[in-house]
Amino acid sequence: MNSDWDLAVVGAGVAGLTAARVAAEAGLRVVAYDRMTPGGQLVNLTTLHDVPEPGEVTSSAGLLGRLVAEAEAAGVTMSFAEVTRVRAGAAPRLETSEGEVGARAVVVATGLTAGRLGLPGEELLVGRGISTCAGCDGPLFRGRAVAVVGDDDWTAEEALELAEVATAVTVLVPGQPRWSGERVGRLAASARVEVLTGATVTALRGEGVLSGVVVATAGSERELAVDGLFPYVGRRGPGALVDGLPTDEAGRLRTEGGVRTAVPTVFVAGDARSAATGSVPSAGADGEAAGAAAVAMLRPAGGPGLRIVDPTFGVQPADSAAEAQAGGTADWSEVALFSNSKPNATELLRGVGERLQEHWELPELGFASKPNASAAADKDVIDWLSQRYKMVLVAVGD
Amino acid sequence: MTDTEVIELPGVTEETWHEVAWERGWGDGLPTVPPTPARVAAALTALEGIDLELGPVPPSGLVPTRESFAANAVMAGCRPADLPVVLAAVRAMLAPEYNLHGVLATTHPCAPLVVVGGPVRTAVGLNSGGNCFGQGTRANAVIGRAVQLVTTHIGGARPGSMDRSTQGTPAKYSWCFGENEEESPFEPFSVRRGFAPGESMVTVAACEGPHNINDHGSTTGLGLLMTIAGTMTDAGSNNVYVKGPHFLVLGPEHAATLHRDGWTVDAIRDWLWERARMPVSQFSEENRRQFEDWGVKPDGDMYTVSTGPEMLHVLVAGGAGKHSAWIPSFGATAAVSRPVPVAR
Amino acid sequence: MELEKRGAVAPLLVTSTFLPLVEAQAKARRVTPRIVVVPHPVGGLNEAELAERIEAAAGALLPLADEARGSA
Repeated sequence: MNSDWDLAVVGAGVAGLTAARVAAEAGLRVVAYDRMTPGGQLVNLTTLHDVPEPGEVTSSAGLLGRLVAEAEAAGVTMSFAEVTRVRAGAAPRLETSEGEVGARAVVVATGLTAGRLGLPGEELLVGRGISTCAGCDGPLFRGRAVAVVGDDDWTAEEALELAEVATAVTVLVPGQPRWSGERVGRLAASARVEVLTGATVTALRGEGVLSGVVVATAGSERELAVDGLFPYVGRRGPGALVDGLPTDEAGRLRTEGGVRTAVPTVFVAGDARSAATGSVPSAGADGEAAGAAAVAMLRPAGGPGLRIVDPTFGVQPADSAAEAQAGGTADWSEVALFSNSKPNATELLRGVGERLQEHWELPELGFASKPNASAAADKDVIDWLSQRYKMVLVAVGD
Repeated sequence: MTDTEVIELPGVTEETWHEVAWERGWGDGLPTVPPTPARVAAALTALEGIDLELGPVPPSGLVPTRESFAANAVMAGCRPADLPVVLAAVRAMLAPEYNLHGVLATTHPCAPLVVVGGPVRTAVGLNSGGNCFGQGTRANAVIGRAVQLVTTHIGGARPGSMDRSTQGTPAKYSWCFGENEEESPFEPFSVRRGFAPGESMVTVAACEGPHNINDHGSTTGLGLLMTIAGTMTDAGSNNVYVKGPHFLVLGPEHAATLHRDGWTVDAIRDWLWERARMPVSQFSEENRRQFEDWGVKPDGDMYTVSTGPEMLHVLVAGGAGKHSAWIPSFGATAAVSRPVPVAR
Repeated sequence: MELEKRGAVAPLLVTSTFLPLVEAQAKARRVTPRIVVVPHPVGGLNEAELAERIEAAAGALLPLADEARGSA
């Protein structure tokens, strides 16, 4: 079968899963790609604040589970191939680790790359002190000091999560913080958190593993000894992934109002979109909008498309449940083999049966076979086997 | 029509339908006709007053509805008048002795052979003459195709997953023809299958494609039978060890020669039963052991084709020329006949 | 699968090519079969190859059987 789709969603986080679900519910054939597991940034969080409503708290895993289940129930196909390039155009094509596929529309919902400071030696220290996932790597820094770099709600949330395990969390804000008043309060309430504004990391310390950073603040520079560094600055959008679309300075895709881009077949949702606010509710809203926009684009103004009678439709036979009967009275010493009479099937069964006989110290094994590999099993034989034996080992195939 | 039976395909047009159908795994690779509710409703007019009387279709075990059944006929290109013939064929295929489940799951290359007899042949324009197994006649093409699409779609027997055939056969696209009753010197096949003269019927069996029997040289019935026996002695045929039905479709010229020389259908069957046999030495020792495991023993030092003369179904089809065909079957199947229902 | 419906525990030794068929049948019948997958083909193997298949299949079957017996 051809592998083309009505809609390909790149990135299965909150925005991507929502867009995919909305489009699939409208009857589109939708694939959602995520090179890792679905979830996007949700994977990196344990608890979500202000979700679903301001002031409320939601478990990240619970939300993710619901988003995935809803998408799959709507008929979305999940793929774990890595999308390496999106060629935007009238007929978009995606290059993936499993080959090239076509889609009639694409929603880019990749989110952003992990945070980076852009300092020499940084890449060598990733996983050796530098991390961008407090939920995943936080426990490694239990009883140790860490620094967090960033200015947004995300940074604040990660710092608060780290404060539950680390002895000291220094939040280095390059300019002034942008996080919410509620988070200002929570950060201030934590004895382990210190916030430094106007702070820039100028160098990394450590041989093989991180041991500290050099921090410049207005007019002065100082060494800060930390075992962990969590940068949430320098995150890049998917500009390099998508051909033919304008991006902002952070590589996020520019849109022409909402989730639409300069190319009618390509939509952007979530953090990958220039000017996205980066919250879970806004990613969800983007997903809703992108899914609906893709549906509207694929359903031309001329009419709703084709309506057809499902050629695969059928109903369960009325009596299928009534067939089930109570099992026999046999106990676990009564085991039989049932061969389909294909070449070697009996030999295979006997071999495996002997191993079970030894294992359970059975006195003997029963045996039955279909007279003919191609015919359905005789009802009488099935009756007899199910009454006489507790377990029947069956050979299928050739 | 319930909501679940109608699928909305946003943005899809008649022009783009084939791509969409193909991507969804519908059809047989050739373009299909979009089964719009209007086309399905039109097709169903031919089944007014007729209950489908269809049971679960293996392997999915789903029972087709009137609409989904008709949708498959529409997709195959059927006109309303073709539907009763398709229905008779599908009813026959669902008879337990046809063994549809085994037929679909087997690695053997069998297709539903659909033989039509009686006046419905002319009513729907079915070809029973020249090139009747081949391309070029609408009714033959679409009726056979519709039967196959029902099992593909409702039964879910798609190649590669449920349909496990090693190589398949081109006959799986469509395999339907009429008996050439007009040029047959024998009693119509439908009558020998128990139907009244003038009654239309369909006979199905899970069969390989036709094996040609070319005999331009023989001028006697006996000479022809020798050639036919030679074609039937096929060491690689399922009919040797799984047994089951098989068909001899005589071209009208061969049939005329046999009839002229006094050969009746029964005499043809008896002679071929006795003479179309293969020496045991033609089979490998391993294969013989395998036959024995299946309870198949040679008659003396010869293997027979199937289990008796009655397993060979003899009919007449085709046009001018000195060709006939032997059609071996899957073996674990039966020739099943059903009347073509008549709409009220 | 008929056997399981009637109350017997019926592990299926399925050759890999037939696995999709068995899974789809199970879905249609709304049952969850106990499956031990054996690499296809089994027919045409010599003794040593067959022994290997038996070893692998037994390795999968015994824990499955123990579990079935334990939970009954």
